[in-house]
Amino acid sequence: MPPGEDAPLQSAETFELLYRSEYARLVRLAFVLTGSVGAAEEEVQEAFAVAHRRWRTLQRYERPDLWMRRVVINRSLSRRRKQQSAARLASRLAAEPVPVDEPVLREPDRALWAAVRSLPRRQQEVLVLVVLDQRSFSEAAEVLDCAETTARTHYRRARLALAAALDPTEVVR
Amino acid sequence: MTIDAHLRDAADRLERALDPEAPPRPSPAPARDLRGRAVAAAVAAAVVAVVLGAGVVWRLDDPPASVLQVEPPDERALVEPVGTGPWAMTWLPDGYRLVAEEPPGAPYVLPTGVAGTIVHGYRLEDANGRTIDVRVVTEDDAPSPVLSSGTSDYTSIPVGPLGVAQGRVTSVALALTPAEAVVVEGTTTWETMLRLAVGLVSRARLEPGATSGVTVRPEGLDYREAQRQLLDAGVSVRLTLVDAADVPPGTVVASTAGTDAAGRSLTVLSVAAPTLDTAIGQVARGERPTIQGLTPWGERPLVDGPPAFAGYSIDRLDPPLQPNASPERADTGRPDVIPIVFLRGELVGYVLPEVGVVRIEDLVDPSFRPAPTVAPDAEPPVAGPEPTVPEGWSTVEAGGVAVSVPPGWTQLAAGCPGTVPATVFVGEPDEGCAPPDPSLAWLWLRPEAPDLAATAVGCAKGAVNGMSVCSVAAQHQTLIVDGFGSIIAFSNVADADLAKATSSLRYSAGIEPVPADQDALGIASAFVVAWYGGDCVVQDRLIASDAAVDRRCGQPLDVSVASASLGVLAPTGGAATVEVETPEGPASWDVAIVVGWSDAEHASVYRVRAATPG
Repeated sequence: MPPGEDAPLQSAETFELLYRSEYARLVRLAFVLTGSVGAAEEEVQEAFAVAHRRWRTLQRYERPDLWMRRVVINRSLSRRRKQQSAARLASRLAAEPVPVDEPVLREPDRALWAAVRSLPRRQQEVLVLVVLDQRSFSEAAEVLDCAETTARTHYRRARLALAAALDPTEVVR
Repeated sequence: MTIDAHLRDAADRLERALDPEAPPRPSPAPARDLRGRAVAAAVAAAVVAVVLGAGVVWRLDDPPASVLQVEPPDERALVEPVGTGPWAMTWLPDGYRLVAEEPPGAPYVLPTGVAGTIVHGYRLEDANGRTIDVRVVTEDDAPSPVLSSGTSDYTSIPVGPLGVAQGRVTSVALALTPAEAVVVEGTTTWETMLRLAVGLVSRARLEPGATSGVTVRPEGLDYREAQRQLLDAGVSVRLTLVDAADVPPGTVVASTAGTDAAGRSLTVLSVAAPTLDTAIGQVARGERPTIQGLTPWGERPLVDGPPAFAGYSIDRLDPPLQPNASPERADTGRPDVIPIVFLRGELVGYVLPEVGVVRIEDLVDPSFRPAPTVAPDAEPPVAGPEPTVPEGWSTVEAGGVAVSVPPGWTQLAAGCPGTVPATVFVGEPDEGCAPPDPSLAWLWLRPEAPDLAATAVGCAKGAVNGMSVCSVAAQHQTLIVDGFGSIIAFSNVADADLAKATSSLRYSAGIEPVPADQDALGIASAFVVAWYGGDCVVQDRLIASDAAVDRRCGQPLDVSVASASLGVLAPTGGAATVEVETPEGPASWDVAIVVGWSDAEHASVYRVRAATPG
């Protein structure tokens, strides 16, 4: 953590505090990665369920909130892979597409988050952590277990890819 | 607009879409401010927690509730008899079978094999207008009807040599009076929450006449039955997590998603109770290949109450399970998911795709037998001679427990409620060592084996299969030591979950674990099951004198034990000469002890059945 920033969530001495302070943020993060509110909520709840069982250990961590992000990201991306597989299967069987519940968003936003989900995994992870979750690059790097410079590189590439993917009349650079 | 600004704005709109009451995002330094807000929220939550006092219940954000409305009964209808051909079935709590045929159908079959009669038909409707058939089925003279969903889903899974069909019947049942409305909190889908409600709230009372607002709560939860049903049905459940300290044992406190062999969603529940049952779920999820000390749900009819404990071991799976090769789980080293077959509430086998159903019964270790039950009029065992403590052993005492330990063991600390220090360490202290549970008597011993002493760095209190244990966290592994100093298991990782011991070391008279003698939780299983069963087959471990000492300090006993020395307990108990304090003064008594199993406490209990002045 860079000097001078707020103290990390070390004050989360109880699971409850961690939950209260992080749940909504993690759901947003998971939503962008899964594309479904229900899926995001489920994955975050499952992550908290895992954390609850391991709380004896997790509470010793300096940043249990970052650990939660790691778990939520992994679960969300894993879930989306399964959803994509199910969608492909449904398509082959000419079945109904797998329903995805989304909040009411403007079309440009829907396209934006869809574009985020089309990015390479690492770029997605860094982007949602930095932009959506407002983590610093050092925190994102810690979550993703990579160097800070690597996180910055992924972020830069993600921006470029998004700018290229989105409507140039809406997004400049 | 830059891409950064576009993303920020979109993130802001997303936040508002997901949480309309969320305050606006601060700008232009959102990261710092938001972290500050998180800390502020945490502080505020802490203040609330302090104000509300201990035992704060935390819940997930309140999602919109779905209303499941039961409409008035339809006409009476008869159930068609069960035909032949592919089928699947499940057992309902009252012993009835629900049979699903292909094409789907859901007739009920009485225990006698005769099709039952639908006496009422209901329709449940969720908030979105989707319906599910619900029928109340009863035999003519049945005392309580069964509310059950009438949907079923036959899935073809290879049938084993025994002809046990592994089917998926999505129905669950609940013995209750017919209700007219059910409101389920925390629902995501009407179907899963219906199952959750009727499967878990086995004794909830739904008020007749209500149209809405009736909240189903986990009252009178029969979690074992619920877990069985959910596992059988492959139910995916979202739960409201509740602080276990504020809920009665058996309440679901967590769930974990997974899939069964057919790729169907499966949720395994964690309940607020120190049980062995969750091991089944771990197997189902593929987190562990074996179940030791498995508590099946008994052979008695489910409606008769909690089943007696019986220990089963399926750790010798044949054919063995193979590590999962899928990319997503290859790094976990976990085995493939194992669908488990239940019949009449009893775990009877598991399914391997290339084999079919493998019966567990064939793998049950005959030495694992049900624990004896302490009957009120049980004859006490005959007091035998006082066992001899081997030469060179020493005795350590705490809270009325005297434990004879071999050379090389040192008592670190011991205590009862009120005497437990906040933290006790083994070896070099580590940070964050959890304090022992002050409600339990405990006794920690330190093995002085050189290879242990060199690596032990910290200690934390925990439990394995409901037994109080000490976890000695080493540099590369975690040793799990029971309350009497035996190493009952260890994990190959330093930061192990106590509930997931991966293997164990055979305890030898020489105290030192013998690495070459590792067996996957073998000794842990043997110890735990034997202990629960009152059969201390691990006779080369310790001579533990827990005569007349309950697991919990301060619990009233027939005598106050000043000291005791007891040999290895016989399967149903033992005898000892104890020094007791009586109103008349100290005395020496010959005491007979009965070891039993408490369904209520889910733990072994010790009772003094006879005490004769010596």
